[in-house]
This record gives sequence, C-alpha cells and structure tokens, in this order.
Amino acid sequence: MSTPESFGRGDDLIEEITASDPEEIVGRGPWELFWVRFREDKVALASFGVVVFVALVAILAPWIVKLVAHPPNAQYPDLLDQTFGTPTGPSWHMLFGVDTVGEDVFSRVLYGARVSLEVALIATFFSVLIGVVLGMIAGFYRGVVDTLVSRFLDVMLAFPVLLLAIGIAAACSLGNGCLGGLVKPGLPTVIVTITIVNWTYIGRIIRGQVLSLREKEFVEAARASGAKDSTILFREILPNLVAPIVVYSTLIIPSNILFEAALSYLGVGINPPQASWGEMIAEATPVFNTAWWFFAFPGAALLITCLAFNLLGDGIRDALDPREAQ
Amino acid sequence: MTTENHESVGTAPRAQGSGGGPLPALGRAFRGLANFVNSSLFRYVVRRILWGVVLLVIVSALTFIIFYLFPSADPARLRAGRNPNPAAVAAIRHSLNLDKPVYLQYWLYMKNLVLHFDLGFSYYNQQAVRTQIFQRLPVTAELALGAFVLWMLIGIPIGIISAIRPRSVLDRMTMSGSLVAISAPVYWLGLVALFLFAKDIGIIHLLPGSGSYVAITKDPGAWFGSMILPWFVLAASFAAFYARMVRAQVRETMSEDFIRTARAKGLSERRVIFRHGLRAALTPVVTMAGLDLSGLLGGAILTETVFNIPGVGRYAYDAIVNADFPPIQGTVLFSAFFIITANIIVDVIYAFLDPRVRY
Repeated sequence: MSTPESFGRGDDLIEEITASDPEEIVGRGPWELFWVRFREDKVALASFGVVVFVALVAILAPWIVKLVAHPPNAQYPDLLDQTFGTPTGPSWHMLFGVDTVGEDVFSRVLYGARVSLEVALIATFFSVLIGVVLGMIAGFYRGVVDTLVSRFLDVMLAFPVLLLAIGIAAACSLGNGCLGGLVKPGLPTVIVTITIVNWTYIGRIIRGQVLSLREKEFVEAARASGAKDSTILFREILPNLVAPIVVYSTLIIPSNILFEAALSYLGVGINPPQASWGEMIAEATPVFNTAWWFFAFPGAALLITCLAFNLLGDGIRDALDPREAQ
Repeated sequence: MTTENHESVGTAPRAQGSGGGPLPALGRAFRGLANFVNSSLFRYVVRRILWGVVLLVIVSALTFIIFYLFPSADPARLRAGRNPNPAAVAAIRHSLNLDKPVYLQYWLYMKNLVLHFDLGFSYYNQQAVRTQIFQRLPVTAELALGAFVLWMLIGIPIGIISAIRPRSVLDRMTMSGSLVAISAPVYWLGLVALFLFAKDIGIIHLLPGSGSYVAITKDPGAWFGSMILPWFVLAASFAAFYARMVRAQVRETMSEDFIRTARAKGLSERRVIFRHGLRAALTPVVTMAGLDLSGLLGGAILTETVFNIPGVGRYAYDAIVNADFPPIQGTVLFSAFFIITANIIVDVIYAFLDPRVRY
C-alpha cells in the first residue's frame, strides 16, 4: 500500500545516486522518482509499448482494414468451404481466416479492440470517479454518510456479481434499453453494468485510505491553520490518493476488458453485427474444433491486451512503491 | 510446558468424564454456556448473524426491484406460448400474481419462503425452483471444491517458493506465467483445453470433453474423468492469483521483526519459514480462500457454460435469458446466502483468534 511516507522514499535510489555522484545531490519530486524507477523496468516499458500498440490499432482500425483487409461486416459466402459451408482458415487473402458467415476475422479482431478499450476505459473512468468521490466523502465525514456507503458496499459484496451484471445487461439489451430508453442496448448498457458492479471495489479502497489519512498530522495542521473541509479534501488528501488511484485504475482496466468480453460471450453484452472479442468467441464455440482461428485470434487478442495492462499496472505499482518491488 | 500446567489442563476432562458424576459436569457446562452467552464474542456473533439475515432480505428485495423494473421479457406472455391472445395472457398474469403491486408480490414471495421454504415455480417449465437448485447444487459444489483443492495445491507452494527465492528463474517464470493465467478469459481457456485434449474432437484424444458430465453416484470413474478439464480450467486463474498473493504475503511477513527475532535466536531457516513465517502469512490467504470458494458455490456460470455442466450457474443464466423470475431470485438468494455465511464464519474466526479485532 502506498502511504504518504513511502511515496517519496526510495532509499535505494538515493543511495545509488549519492554513491555515483557524491557532490551532486539533486532534489527529486515523487513523480521524477517514479519516472526514474519506471524507466529501469524493462517489462513495464515493454507492456506500455503493447498497450500503446493496441490503442493505435483500435484508433486506426478503419484505415488498417481499408489497406490490408475487408470491412468488418462484409460477408464473403464464396470463401466458405464449398461442400460443407464451413469457415476457411487463414490465408494471404484473409489473414485470420473467415468466420461462419464469411466475415474477415482479422478485421473483426481489430474492430473488437475498439469495443474492448472503449468499454474498459469509460467504465473504469466512471467506476473510479464514483468510487473516489463516495469513498472520500464516507472516509472523511464518517457519520451517516459513511454508514450508508459502507452498508451499501456490504450489500454489493453479498450480491453474486456476475448474476447481477447479467441481469442488468439482459434487461437493458432489449428493444429501447432500460430506464425509459436512457440506457441504450450495446455499448452504453455494458458500460453502465460494469460501472455499477465495479465502483464498490475502488470505493472500499479509497474509503480505507481516507480513514487513515484524515488522522495524519498534516491534515491536523491544515485544520489548525483554518483550512476549510473542501481545501483539506482536495489539497491535502486527494494528492495522497493519486498513487493508489493510478495503480488500481490500471489494474481494473484488464478486469473490465474481461468483464465486457464475458458479458458479450454470454450474449448480453455487445451483439453482432458489431464485433467484440467475447462475442466472437461465443460464435466460434459451436465450430471450435474445425475452425480454430475463429476462437484463437480473438482470445489471443484478449489475452495479450489484458496481460499488457496487468504488467503495466504491476510496473507502475512497483515504481510508485519500491518497498513492494524488492 | 511445566508439570503444573499439565496438571491444571488435565483436571477438566477428568471431571467431565467419570469423576464428578453427570450433574456437576452439566452444571459446569451450563455455566460455561452462560459465560459464553454473556461474552462480547457471543454478542458479536449474534449481531453478525442478524445483520446477515438483514442483508439477505435487502438482496432479495433489490433483486425483486431490479427484475421487476427491468424484466428482459414479459413472463406472462412467455408462458402463454406462440401467438397468445390477450385474455389468456391476462389470465396467466393473474394466476402468477403478476398483476399485483410489486410490494405485495414481494410479501407473498417472502411469506412462502419463510413459512414453507418455498422458492416458487419456474414460469418457463413449471418446475419447483427449490428442487431444481438442490438437484444442481451438488454439481456446482463438485466443480467448485475440486477446483479449490487444485488451486490451493498449486498456488500456495508456488507462492512460497517464489517468495523464498525472489528473482530466481523459477520466481520469474511462475510470476509471469501467473499473469498470463489471470489475463486469459476462463471460457477461452476452456475452449483451448477442449481443442487440445478432448477425447472426441481434441488434437490429443485424452479426456472427456464438453457435455460429458456424469453424476458421481452413477459412475464415479466417468465422473472424475469428465471433471478433470473443468477443474483445471476453473482453477487456473485462481491458482495464479493465489500464487501472487501468497508470494506478497510471505515476503511481507519475512521482513517483520518477529522473523528477525526468530533468526537471531539461531533457528534454522526452515524452521523460521515454516513455524513462524507461514503461520502469519497464510492466515489472510485462508480467509480469502473461504470467500472465493463460497462465491463459486453460487455457480461458476462461465465454466459451466463452456463445459456444459448442469450446475446452478447454468440454471441462473438460463433463467435470466428466459426472463424466468423465480429461478433468478432463488439462485441469487442461494449465492448471497453462501457469500454472507462465509463472511460471517471468517469474521467470527478472526475475532476469536485475534483479540485485537474490535467487536
């Protein structure tokens, strides 16, 4: 856990610097220290590279597809096996083969990256936002608000998460969506579902951190010098929450990617014709023994993307809190 | 231990056994019970159980509201068959109490549940939900328990070895391997496993594949074979997660003062690790394991789907897709019950073991 004490520490680093350069002791801010440590971590750098690559692929998907592949929803029935009507495998013409209706798996994997990242980033943003706001209020003001938030967290903890998510997603996936058409089927439904389920995770962590931070001397000092609650919350406490927020956000992203894929796999997330990795795996399931490319490529894309985010999150955590890394 | 201690410990069972006759023993037991009832631990347990019951009521009410407000289809129409006429739909709606206000529906449901332990009947195939859940619960429990044993047997030793030899080749390999397992979706792992090892369609014809589940009472051998792939697939990400957690815990514990003290006393490293370190390090892991296992008892939807295993998760999923409300409510209640119970047990054991826990 990164506490304010550990944040700027990095004893090892200071030793290293002083050993090599005894005259020049440079003062370094916590972010500078973070960057120095992060730069050393080859795995974290590489995973950051993969994340950037996946993001670029997602953004540039329409152009890449135009250059080397086919539109994601164009169907080429003549590419299906002429006798059995089954999908055909990878070739120069179709890099990742075709699926059961003759669509280009390669283009659909690229477009799937868009859905995955879009859902994961937006849902992560909202979960973190709600979690941080409610967690801070509950932890700082205690009392009734804290009781309400904590009890709500208790209830959410008791709920079978996936069932709840499937329920919400299934309800909103039909017709005009739910809440009077406010939440439309498809992307919005998935994002809302994941946010509802996921904010409690970060909310619990932030609440705990704030509970201990509000008792620290620097908060007491701020209060003694007449600072308002809002000043204490935003100027004193929030900066100390940045490290855990960054770390947990990075680690929530892959779990949200998997969540979206799971919902789509179960048929209550993103539905065809839109491409999503989870949905593709679901469609590939009935033919998986004959058309390995149809489930292998979307799955590999999921695996690589989540792995990169997980490694990146680990790297960021180690760089922010060197005690964990050693 | 001194002889004195031995004596004082020895008296209690003797008196209970044959020495003082049944009446004093009963009195002592009763006094012990009275003491326990008066203790704060007991009050804590009672409070936790009451709160657990409240939680169950809230969860059931929330489920009711969620699925009442956003049903994925109209249950009455679903039951009326193809091309229903409005009168028939209305009649069905009335017979299912769906025309009553939601609080009355909830009241009727809870009344039946509390008085008769009746979870209602499926809208879809008219079967009793309780019977269905009890039929499927053992299947899910078999899946969950098997995976649990596997992931503990794999995860804990790997975590310990990695923690003791940090930055070794083994540590690096297992830790990066574990991240791969955590990043892979379980249903995809299932497909890969089937593609490689399924007896009927796999590259290596090794193990029974999807839909091969046989009840253990019918054919234990076939049952075991059919569960091997699902167990491994379900356990994979858990094992990875536990290996990482155990590693972190052990490393943290091994840098504590009492470990330094143990080393300073001249104990062998093996003794320091196994007698002092692991005891402290593994407590939170065991807690976590209890909670995870209880979470799985509510159904492993994805794994059950890939391997076509007739468990609770599959039942719940089918119910949601069919807008079949009673099974949804029943399975949600059951999983919530498992989660809440496990939480209470874990917290009470903690409170019992660690007097610093506030209660």
